[in-house]
This record gives sequence, structure tokens and C-alpha cells, in this order.
Amino acid sequence: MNTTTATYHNAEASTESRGRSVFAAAFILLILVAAALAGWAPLGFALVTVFLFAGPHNWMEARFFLSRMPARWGAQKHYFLLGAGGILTLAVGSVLWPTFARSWQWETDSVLLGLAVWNSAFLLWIVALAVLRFRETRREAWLWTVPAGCLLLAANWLQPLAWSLGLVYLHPLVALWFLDRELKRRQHDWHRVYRRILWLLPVVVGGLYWQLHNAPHLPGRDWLTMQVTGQAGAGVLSEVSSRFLVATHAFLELLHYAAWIVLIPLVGYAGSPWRLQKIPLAQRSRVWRKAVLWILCAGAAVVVALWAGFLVNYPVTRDVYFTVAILHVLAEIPFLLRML
Amino acid sequence: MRRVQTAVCGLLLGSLLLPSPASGDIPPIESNVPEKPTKRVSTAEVPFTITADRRAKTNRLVIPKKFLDNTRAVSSSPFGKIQTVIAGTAIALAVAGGAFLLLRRRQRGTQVAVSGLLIGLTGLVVSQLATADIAPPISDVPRAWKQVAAGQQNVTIEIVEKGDSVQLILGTYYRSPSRDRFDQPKPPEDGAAAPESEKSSAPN
Repeated sequence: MNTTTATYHNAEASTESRGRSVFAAAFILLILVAAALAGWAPLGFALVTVFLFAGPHNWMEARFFLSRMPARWGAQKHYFLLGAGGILTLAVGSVLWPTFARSWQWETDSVLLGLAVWNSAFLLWIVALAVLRFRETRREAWLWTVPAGCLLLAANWLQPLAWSLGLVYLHPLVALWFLDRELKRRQHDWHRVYRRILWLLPVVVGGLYWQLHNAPHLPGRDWLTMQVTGQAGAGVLSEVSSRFLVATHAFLELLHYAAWIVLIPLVGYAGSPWRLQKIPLAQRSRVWRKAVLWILCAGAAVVVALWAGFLVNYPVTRDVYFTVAILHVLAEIPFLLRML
Repeated sequence: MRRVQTAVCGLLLGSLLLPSPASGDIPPIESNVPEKPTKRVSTAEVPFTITADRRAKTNRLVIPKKFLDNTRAVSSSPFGKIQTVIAGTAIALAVAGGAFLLLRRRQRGTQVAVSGLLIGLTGLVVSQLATADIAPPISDVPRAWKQVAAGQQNVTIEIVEKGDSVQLILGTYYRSPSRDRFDQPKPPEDGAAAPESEKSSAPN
């Protein structure tokens, strides 16, 4: 009996070790291949990854958030109300103020003021959510978000453009943070390996910089090239090659997509993402179950429509997508704070 | 000892929240610092040279036209003032908040370290208040500047079509022969091209 138990444990440990090795190898391979492709053909890589993965990753994110939303808010009502209200208000604001700026032909100072105000509202929203988390958990670490938020506020007002560009580059890393939390909860062994592999990221970005920072700017003054290079910050960091900026941004975006589409579902809810048993809202009542099903189906339809839109008119669809995509960027914040 | 520490920290935290640090770029009223020009100045980094011309009577600041593109007004911009006030206030709040959270920990070492840091920060802020907007002196051309005769502290600004750098040409021509250390060359005729300067200094 003891021999059988020991053999069973050995087999289990061996399986876990093999699983950990496969995960580590796959993750390292993903990072290296993504960096190589992004460095070799940054513009093409950026266009293809957005076309293939933008829609599906949003669907998987929505699926994940549904699985993390409690069936009844209860004591967390204020937190989720502030979260939802902030998401909607900031999303509408992010669409409205550039529209006003263009229509009323704001001068540079007014545009910078609008940008700084929006960034400040975004920061204050995060700090307010963190303070609510402190009230729930009574962990003093949450209070450090207040001085940290004030420092970020100062940085925003001193350099609003650079601050916004920083958000563009930090947002892809949020998915890796989600993955970190999921691994810590469900796969502790993989978590240690994952954190060590993350040190590869600055090395890879450094390699891209070493190869590309002095490379000629990406050619082409067409709308699509300007969209991609503008989003990567070529207008703000004009002394750095746009080739490097686009390559780095596209590389980070692919990691973001891979985390949401493959890695987090693998760890977070092993099994089919379309099964509703693990969505608390869907268990609340038949009405809610239908509502969740409709949300997922509508989301899938939007993904297909997005692909069709990209095929018909890529630049316009890309513009529309990234305008609406602010919703998912904002939605990540309250769910991430709940996992910390 | 703890009460004294708490009182000192409270005073320092309170002083950090006063509005004076937020106006660190506004010079004191009695100072001799000239008012910032309201003309548009370039905020891009451009090559800059300082030369001394013994044959010139006046100082000239020569700016090629191309450097005046894409400039923005600095001191006349309301956004600049709002930036400074909000950023300064936010930094002060961040320091105060961080110090408060550290002081809540009942560890003597942390409290002493934070008190020392606050005293040092306050001293630094106060010492920089009156000079925050004054550029450090250019150490490369001290001799040339000393030789600029009294009354030649003005500068003529010239916008030129061509040129690759902004030039400050100090006129070191002397009126009084007894004070000359060098040969006194002929002064340039009015409207003549600027003579070649014998000494240049290009700060980094």
C-alpha cells in the first residue's frame, strides 16, 4: 500500500514537473518568436496580429470578467458601481474630448489640458477603487496607492503626452499581471517559473532597441502607417526610430493577446470557455443565464464582424476598434484590483 | 522624544502643504532677476555657441529663422502655470502622504529616517525657491563676459535666414585705451558683416 501511494505521488510529481517544463518552454518560445517577427517586419506584424487576435482576445476577456463577477454584489456594491460608472464615464470622455478638440480646433495647450484632465480622472478613479479595497480588506498596503497616485498625477501634468504613451506600452503588461495572479492561485509551481521568465522581457526589448533604435523610420505616409506609428508614439519620441517603437509595441501586444486567448484560460478555467457552469451570474437565475448566453453570442458576432470589417476596410475598422477598445482597457482595472 | 519627533514631523508635513513650494518658479519680488520675455522662445534643443568679438561694440544674439518654427510660448501659456501648480501640489501631497504612512509604522528607525528625509527635503525646497528659474552661470566664457564694458549688458536680437546654431556674440570692444589689455582693432562699420570671432565656446 505504501509502495502504491509512493508510486502514485511520484507519477503525479513527474506529470507536474513535465507540465511546468512544457509551460516554460512554450512561454519562452512565444517571447522569442514574437520578438523576432516584430523586429523583422514590425508594420506587417502589427497589422496581422491586430487582425487575427484583437477581436478574440476581447471575447476571452469578457468571458474571464463574467467568471470573476460575483452573482450578487452585496457588500461590494459600491466597488462595482464605482467601477462600472468609471468605465462608462471615462470611455465616453475619451471619445468626446478629442471630438470637441477637432471640431472646435483647439490649440495645442488646450489639447494638452484635455489630455491631462482625462488622465487625472483615470488616476483618481483607480485610487478611489483602491481606497474601497482598503475598506474591504483593511490591508494598509492599499493606502500607498494615494501617494503613488499623487506622484503619477504630477508626472501626468508635467508631461501628459509622455504619460499617455506610457499607458499605451503598459497596458499590454496588464494581461501578464492577470496571468501572474491566476498562476499564483491555481498553479503555484508554474508561478515561480513564470516570474523568472518575465525577466526575459526587458532583455528582449533591450535587444530590439539595440538592433533598431537607429534604423530608418518606417516608410510610408499613408493613413494606415501613420495610425500604427502614431499609436506607437512616433510623434512623441521622434528621436527614436519608429521601426523600434512599432516593433516593441507589436511584440507587447502579441504577448497580451496570447495571455488572454491561451494562457489565462488554460490556467483560469481549464475546460471550454463556452461552458457556463463556472460563471456565477449564469447560476443566479434562468433569466441571468440567458442574458450571459446572449452577451457571449453577441460578442462572438462582433468578433466575426470585426474580421469582416478589417477585410473590407482595415484603416477605418482599426480606428473604430481602438476607439471602442478603451472600454476593455478600463474594465481590466477593477477586476485586476480585486485579484490583488 | 516621540512627542518631539511627532511635533517636528507635523510641522514639516504642514510646511510641505503650504502653497509656496508650488510657486517655485516665480522669483521673489525684490530680486534682480529680469522678467521672462513674452516673446516666443524655442523649446527644442538647438546648437548654441558663445563667442567674443573684440571688434564689436554691442552684444548680439543671432537666431536662424529655422529654429523659430514649432516653438511655443512658455511664460505666456496658462497651461504652463496650471501644470506647475498642479504638479507641485501633487508632489507635495505625495511626499506628505508617504511620510504619514511611514510614520504610522511604530518603528523608531523608520521614524528617524523619515524625519531626516523631510528636514532635508524642506531645506532643499526652501534653498531653491528664490533661484528656481535662474539658469546656472556659463562657466566657459567668464573672461569674455568680464571684458564686456559697463553699459554693454544689453543684447540685440537678430533673426537671420541662414545658420546652423544660435550664437551669442559678446562685444568686447573697449572705449577707454588705458583699460585695454589687447590691441584695439578698428571698430566695425555700421551694416558691415560680423568679423570673425577669435574665441568661441560651445557649451555641451
